[in-house]
Amino acid sequence: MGSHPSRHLDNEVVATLVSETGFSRKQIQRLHCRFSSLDKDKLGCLKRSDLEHISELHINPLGVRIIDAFFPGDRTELSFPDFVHVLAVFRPGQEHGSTDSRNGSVSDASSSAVNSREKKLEFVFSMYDVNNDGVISKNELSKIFQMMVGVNVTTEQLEYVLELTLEEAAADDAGDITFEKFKTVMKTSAVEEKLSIRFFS
Amino acid sequence: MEVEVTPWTIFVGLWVYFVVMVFIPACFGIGMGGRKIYISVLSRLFEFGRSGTTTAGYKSPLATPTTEKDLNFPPTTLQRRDSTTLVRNRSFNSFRRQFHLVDVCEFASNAVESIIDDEVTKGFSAEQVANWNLLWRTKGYHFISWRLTCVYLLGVVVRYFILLPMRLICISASLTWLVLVMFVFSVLPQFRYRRAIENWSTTVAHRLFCRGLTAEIRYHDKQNAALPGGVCVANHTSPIDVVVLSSEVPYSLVGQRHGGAMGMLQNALCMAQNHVWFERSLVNDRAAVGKRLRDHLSDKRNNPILIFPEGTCINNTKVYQFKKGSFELNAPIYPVAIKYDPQFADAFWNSSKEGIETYLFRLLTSWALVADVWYLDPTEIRENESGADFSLRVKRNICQKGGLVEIGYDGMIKREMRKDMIDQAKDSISKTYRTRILGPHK
Repeated sequence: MGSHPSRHLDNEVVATLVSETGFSRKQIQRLHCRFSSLDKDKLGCLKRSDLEHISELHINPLGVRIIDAFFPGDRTELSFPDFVHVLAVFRPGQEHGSTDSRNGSVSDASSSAVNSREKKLEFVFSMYDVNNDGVISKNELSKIFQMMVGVNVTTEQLEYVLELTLEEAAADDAGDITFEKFKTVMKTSAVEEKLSIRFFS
Repeated sequence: MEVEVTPWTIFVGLWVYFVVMVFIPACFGIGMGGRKIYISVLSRLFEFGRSGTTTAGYKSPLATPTTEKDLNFPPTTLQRRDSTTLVRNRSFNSFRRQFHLVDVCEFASNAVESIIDDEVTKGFSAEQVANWNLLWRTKGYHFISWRLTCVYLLGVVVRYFILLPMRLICISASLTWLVLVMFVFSVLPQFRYRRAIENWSTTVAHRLFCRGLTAEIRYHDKQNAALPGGVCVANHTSPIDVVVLSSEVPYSLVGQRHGGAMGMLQNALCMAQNHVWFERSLVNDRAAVGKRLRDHLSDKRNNPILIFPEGTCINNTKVYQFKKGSFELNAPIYPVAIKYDPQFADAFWNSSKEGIETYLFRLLTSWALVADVWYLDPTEIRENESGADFSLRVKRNICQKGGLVEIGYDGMIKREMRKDMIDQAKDSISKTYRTRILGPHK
């Protein structure tokens, strides 16, 4: 996908994105509008600082982790297609009946779809897995939980909550949660609904 | 009666018209009905325009906010098709429950929503107008038909060449009157009805100014208007708020001393009336500020104080955190909600984008300034209620009355992302989550 950032939106790019992500043409155009307005230096790609400038994101306790999701590893520039791909995970799943009749060729029901339950669970897992090693360690869990509840929490409360969670997830002796175990714990949770955004169509 | 039409007679005629139709009604606070007719004609004109246009401009990619409101995340979209729609605060049972791994989804969804659609910036950009009001400045409309373009061009001619000169005359008359009055009273000795006449004179000046903006203001529940010794608080959209409110009730204004034209105006106002202007350096000295305000309030001959607790101008669709200072003065609070109709003019002054002169020029070339002012029931601080809680309570009432969205943190956060403001906002979100997980006692 475009290794050189482009400021204008090619029809070809739009068509590819439509088929890859399931967004409609209109949605992609609107997202591009937003992408351009975030691109303060007009480089055709976003930097971390562009996202950090969004106040709403800045005051979100997990804002940093979301920015990490857009800039995994060493990546410093975010192209528009990559931007859309990350957002595509948040498209509502099949159960909510996407009203967009001009769907791409992606079948929402298949587990390979960008916004399938599996993909959403992967995203949630990656929110916890800070060092990206495929397991959620007790440390990582503690860190994320602390980010969510803020600073006014005693060590006892913290320990209590963590122990319960690890037990529920049947973590191994090291206190690590693998993706498989994670999926099992999340079996009853409505991830499709909670990790969804109704994009304007 | 034969009257020769010369420039002189036209000039005299205009002045006579002005005095009879504008000045004298302003003195008595009555309207001649002209503006009402004008507004209804305009409304019909907009309907005509509406029938042909489609909104082709930037729209938020979000349909409706989807994340749960119980975490007190600010709502992320402002598509307000009809003004009675309020973002509903779903109240969940905040019974203690365990932390679940899935909880992170709420934060994630909201974070992504804010990437797609920035609430705080939107708070500072002019409220989207659902239908075109025939002003070029309301951006995002494509060419639709020749008929509409003709009407638009006619509108431009009317606004710039007919309305603008008339309004400039009115505004300058208002300012001249104000300066004259101030000067006269500053040299007069004290006499029995002096205060009453002073107040009346400045009210007339404000009314004249309003008429100069073709302002059609509907005041509701006037019986709740502020009394001396009280503090009036209102949501802030522009400096015009002061003029709008002062057209009905004489207030003592509170604020920083400015330089330039504003500073001169402040000094002029002080010549006859009692206003509370602070030096820049003193603004942060809360104790000193509090004392001066309390002294002012304790003298019942002084006018009630007018304060805008947000501290900055907002775009009239939402209300940010109220600074609690004004609520800790031990005085009755008279809340007021002001809502401008964006169809006729964009009243929001974005001080970082335009100067006061540009802003005024923009208002003077808009169609009109239509607003609703609601005087809410006066209220006082309750026992065991903190200043912060009191300010929240009053803010809630104002938001409900005016149909405005409540935001829990400081509006200055977009102007300057100060660390303490960010931490405070972050903590207010964490706190709600924390209470849900761990119970309300911590």
